[in-house]
Amino acid sequence: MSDTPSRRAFVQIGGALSVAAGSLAKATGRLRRAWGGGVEPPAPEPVFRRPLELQVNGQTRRLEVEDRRTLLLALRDDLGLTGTKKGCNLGQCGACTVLLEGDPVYSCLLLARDARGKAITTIEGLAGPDGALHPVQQAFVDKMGMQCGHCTPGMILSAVALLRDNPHPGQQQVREALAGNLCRCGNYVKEVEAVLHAARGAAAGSGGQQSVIGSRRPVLDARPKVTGQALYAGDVRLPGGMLHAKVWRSPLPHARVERVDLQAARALPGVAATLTWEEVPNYRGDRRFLNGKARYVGDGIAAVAAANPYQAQEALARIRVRLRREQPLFDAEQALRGSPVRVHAGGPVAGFAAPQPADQHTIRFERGDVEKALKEADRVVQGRYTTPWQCHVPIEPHCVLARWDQGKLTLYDSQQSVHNCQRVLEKVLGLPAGAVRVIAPYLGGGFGGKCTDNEGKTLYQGIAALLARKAGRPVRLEYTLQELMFAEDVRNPFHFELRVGLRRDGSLTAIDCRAVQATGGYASSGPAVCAVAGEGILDTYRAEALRYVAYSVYTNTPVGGELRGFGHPQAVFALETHMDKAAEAAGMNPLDFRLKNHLREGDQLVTVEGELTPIRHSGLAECLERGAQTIGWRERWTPPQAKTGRLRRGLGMRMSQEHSGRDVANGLVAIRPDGRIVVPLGVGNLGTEAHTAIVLLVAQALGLTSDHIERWIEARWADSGSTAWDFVSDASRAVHCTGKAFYLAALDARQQLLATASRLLGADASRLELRDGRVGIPGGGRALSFAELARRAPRRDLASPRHGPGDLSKVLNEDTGRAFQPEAKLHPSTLALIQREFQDCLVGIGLYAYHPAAKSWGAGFAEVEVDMESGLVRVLRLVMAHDVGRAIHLDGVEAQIQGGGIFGLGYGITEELLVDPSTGIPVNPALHWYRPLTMLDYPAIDAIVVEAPDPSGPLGAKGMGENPVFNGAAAVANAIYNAAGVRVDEIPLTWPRVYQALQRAGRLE
Amino acid sequence: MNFLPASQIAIDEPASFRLLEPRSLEEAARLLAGESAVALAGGCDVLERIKTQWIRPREVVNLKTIPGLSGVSGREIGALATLAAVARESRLPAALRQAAVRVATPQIRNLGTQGGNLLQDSRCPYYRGPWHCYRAGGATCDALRGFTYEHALWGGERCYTVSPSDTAPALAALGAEVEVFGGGRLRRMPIERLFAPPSYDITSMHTLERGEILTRILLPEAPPGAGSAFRKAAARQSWDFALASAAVYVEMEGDRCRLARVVLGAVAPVPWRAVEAEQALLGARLRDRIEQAARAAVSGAQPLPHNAYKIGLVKRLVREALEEIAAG
Repeated sequence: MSDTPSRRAFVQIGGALSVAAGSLAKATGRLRRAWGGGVEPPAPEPVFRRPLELQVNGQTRRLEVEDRRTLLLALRDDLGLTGTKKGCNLGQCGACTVLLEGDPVYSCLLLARDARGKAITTIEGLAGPDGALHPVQQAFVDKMGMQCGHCTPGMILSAVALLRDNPHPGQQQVREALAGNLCRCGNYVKEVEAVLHAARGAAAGSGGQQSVIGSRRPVLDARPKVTGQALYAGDVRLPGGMLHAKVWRSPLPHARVERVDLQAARALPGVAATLTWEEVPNYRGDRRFLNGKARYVGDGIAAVAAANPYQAQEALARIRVRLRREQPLFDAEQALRGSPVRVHAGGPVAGFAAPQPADQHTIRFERGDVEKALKEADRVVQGRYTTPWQCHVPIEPHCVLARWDQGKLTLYDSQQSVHNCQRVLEKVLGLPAGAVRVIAPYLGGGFGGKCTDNEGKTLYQGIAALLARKAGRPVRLEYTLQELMFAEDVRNPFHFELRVGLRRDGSLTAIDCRAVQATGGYASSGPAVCAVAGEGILDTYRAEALRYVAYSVYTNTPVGGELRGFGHPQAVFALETHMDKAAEAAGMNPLDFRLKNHLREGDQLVTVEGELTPIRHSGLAECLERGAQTIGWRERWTPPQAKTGRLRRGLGMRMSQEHSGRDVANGLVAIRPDGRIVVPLGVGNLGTEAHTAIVLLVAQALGLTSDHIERWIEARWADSGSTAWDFVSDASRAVHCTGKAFYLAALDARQQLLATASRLLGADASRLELRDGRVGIPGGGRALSFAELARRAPRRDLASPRHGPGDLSKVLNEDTGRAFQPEAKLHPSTLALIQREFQDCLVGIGLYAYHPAAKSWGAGFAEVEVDMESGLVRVLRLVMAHDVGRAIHLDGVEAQIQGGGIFGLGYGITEELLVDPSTGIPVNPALHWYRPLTMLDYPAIDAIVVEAPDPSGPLGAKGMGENPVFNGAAAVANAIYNAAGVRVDEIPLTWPRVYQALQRAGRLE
Repeated sequence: MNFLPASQIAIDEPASFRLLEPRSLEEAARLLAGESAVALAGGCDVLERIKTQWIRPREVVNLKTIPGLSGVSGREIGALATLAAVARESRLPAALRQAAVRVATPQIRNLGTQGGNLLQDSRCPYYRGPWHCYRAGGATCDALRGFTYEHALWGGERCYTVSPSDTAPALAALGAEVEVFGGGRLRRMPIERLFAPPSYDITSMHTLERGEILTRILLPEAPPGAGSAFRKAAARQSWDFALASAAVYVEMEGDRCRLARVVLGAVAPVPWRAVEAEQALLGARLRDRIEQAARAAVSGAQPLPHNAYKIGLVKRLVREALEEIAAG
């Protein structure tokens, strides 16, 4: 017998279906059977609460909970132990791991009642009573065993259980023990190292280091992350409690909302407020945070806030929405050829400003005469490439807590861009500047999915805010795993058509690319991604003639937003697979072809702003040589024809560049009268640990050694009310842009310290040095403390922040698609902050807008084994060499290369969101179907750091957090060709696809 | 002009239920006879469905409070024994331990039970999603119109889902029997009869009636020289259900194979006996017939649009399992 049949919202069926939607409409039959054929939902659920005693961390805790309460919610919400993190909530990520009688289990898949009588250990139970960290916690601190930290408590507990059973594990055993803890930041290499370090009983601390730049040291927020004390948005608790919101989302890909009936929902006990699309204010753009026309499955139509999540869910089931189906459109190329379907009035193409007709591209760049150059070529190589929808799946789903207080709104949000989020929410809610404050000290991974930087995003915060205002109480909105995977924005899929012209000597005459991107129901970042994908296509190889034309096309599918790489991963896969074919057509080794043809210092780059700028300081040649050497390319590469047997090995490679950011950053360093140095960073804390690198830059400028950083520097971040204005923490910009601005600010403060000390000591400034919080004459002469100097320095005029020539480049306005020259002034909110908080301080200020020539360069190499019988591919090794300009925090740089490499490997070999072609419903929105890589899935990784400093970066540092993501797909695809002699021009390179390629080529064993 | 249910994606906590904790099989069977009751063992499958509210039982019957069902020995596994306990038990045959240790993750193995692993529901994403397919009580198979990457090579009939359990093919290869409490008494049957092909009941993966409880899995005594192995292929090395798996058990007479069972997982709605592969091994030295058996294992396979790669996987896994037995 099957299980008790399902039950869902009540339904009323009538009328013919206007689309062939499979059996979806009959889903209602599934529900009617459960209710005995009726159409009204059952009466409100009876609730059974019972006393329960749990043994938690050695203490007896008494609760009264419902039988349905999971241990996870009991720990977090009933006992206030928020160290155990909530991730997918369905036993697929491991963030909720606790120890039950010493064994790791998922607390989200365990009923609280089922845990009674058993010893439960949470992360809070590990540290000693004096606060001394458990050896595993200490090892994670010392070895940077975390990035965003959301998987960290669970992973530490799994490691503790391992070491109790096996005090001396090998690497493989560590990986197997931790295989049930997913780390989306891909920090596996360091996590394993940390566990082995703890097993060796290695001494705490990384030793007193004098040098600051290029050092390894714990990140600034290591301790809160390993103890579970880090408060992510879902951990925030307010006195007086909060309401819980849920969103009614469309089951159809394209439908007009005719009626929303909230009567039955409002009648439920516990429901405090409701919201429909009609109550959402009008603002710029093609999207609202609740919509009157559903344009993809999952589009939000209405919302409800209730006293607890159970009631909110129940209320959701009682909201009646009448939808009038419209013909959906799923195929972007079809839309361009001509389709009667109108996702948006105005046309099928998403332009920067508005929808456009099918014959108007979203973006176009052309240099020289491509058609002529192709005719003049000795050979033309053509190809077509396809990339999928990818999901961010950070371990922490989006969560916001909205609280009003006398007209001012505070958002505790999982947010990468607190200042932009403030600006956007003020705008859409019609609030005055300064009315909104966004606080996000910790977020459990972002990867671009938590950047609320313009009105085209989902703006789920608006839903929580309006419900909170109506209810007069704070409201928390927390995504489920499925909402995270496709109701929020994802990475858009592309088709690329590439043509390159080759001369006999292997050089290129032309690169011609037509790109079509399915941006989904709304434009979101679609057009901007098209622009950056153009950068990916045009900025790596030398060719006189270049052309890139891209169309961002509306489809009734999940929406394309920002995801790490922002167009590059798609473009690099296409370009690098194509160039591999070109190399073969030219009769050249893939490495030699790239060494011959890559752009060099002095060559022109095309920027997203549509301008040309010469390259300076490229470390690409070094990346290529060192990477090739490490993997043994020259010694071991053989062509596919030379391979035999059922299991064949191959080598593949790729290279690329990436910009070091976008837009403007403000720098602010304030030295208090007591000598402490405040560094109020606007950067988001998404796991890149950029705050640590930026603080190292400030310390360097102010003469502080590493040991003194925690003593003197008070770093804070990601609070729009108490930090310097910053754009977004994305686009690989934090260290290069914000770091430069803060470095300039620190130099500005340094200059003021020297000037004041010079005056007071009567010595020339050039004879003075800064050392550990004092300024004085070297060799033990007189010195003045920062405190004294801060008290006595004259107040600085704030009208002209420090910046150098070339520090304020033109930047792209993504709303209009045009470049503009930023003004040489601090943002008003930074000035307001100085006014509010730092009036009595010595204030240093700096300003920087990213330089488009400050590209990071990278080369990746992969070795694979292909099973010619089944298409089973094993990735054996990944070598990644990245030119980062200058490595400021070495642990952090390595973590980005390793982690980004693993993230990109998943993109290349397992990850794709499958959208059902009949209904537009995503088929695999679960982690065990979507397949982000686990602790057992990464190969041997070599992360090589190359430094070709760029003059505009802080001490030469460039951005580098995204480039490593571009390694996996192209390098593995090229390696598969080298091994098996078949090209797979579509990613991910799953076994079925490789098998199909082998079958078509007649090469199956 | 439809009122339609919301997309269910915003739901991840259960509807209200009472947790009942019987102390005996009789009591449990009585409680499970109710229309709105489901059994709870490790919860790794049923709790996910309860939290996403694809099922909304009013009573959840905790089987873990019934004494005597969780022991493990060299020939007997209580249905409520955890997979971790099975993987640890050195007296159990290799194939079963190898299968148990490949299930999901350490955390799931610490909660998930042997019985639950056998009785788990189909993992077809269409069935688990909002599609009203045959298995959900409807009148079509939506996977056929969509993606069939993970569906059946054999035995599909209107429904093409696959048996997701790793331990099931291993136990079937080992010749296990299961013990079931139903109708007030215990009965035994070969494990094959526990699994329901679509022709038997397209809405259920197993043959237990409402109110029946799986109590024990029993293994026959293996003669000296018997060997077994289990191999699994999955896209990820952790957490993932098999794309294909193979369990092999052989009894030898001298250096010749006297009896062979080759059972495939994740390629059919039930664990699939590869009879031709077994016949290829009989009477021969294992090493001489590995390739033949691997090829014979895929005879009669009927691939769907996206799953032909599984044919190659099955050959590889049967080959590897036989090589391991031949070496040991």
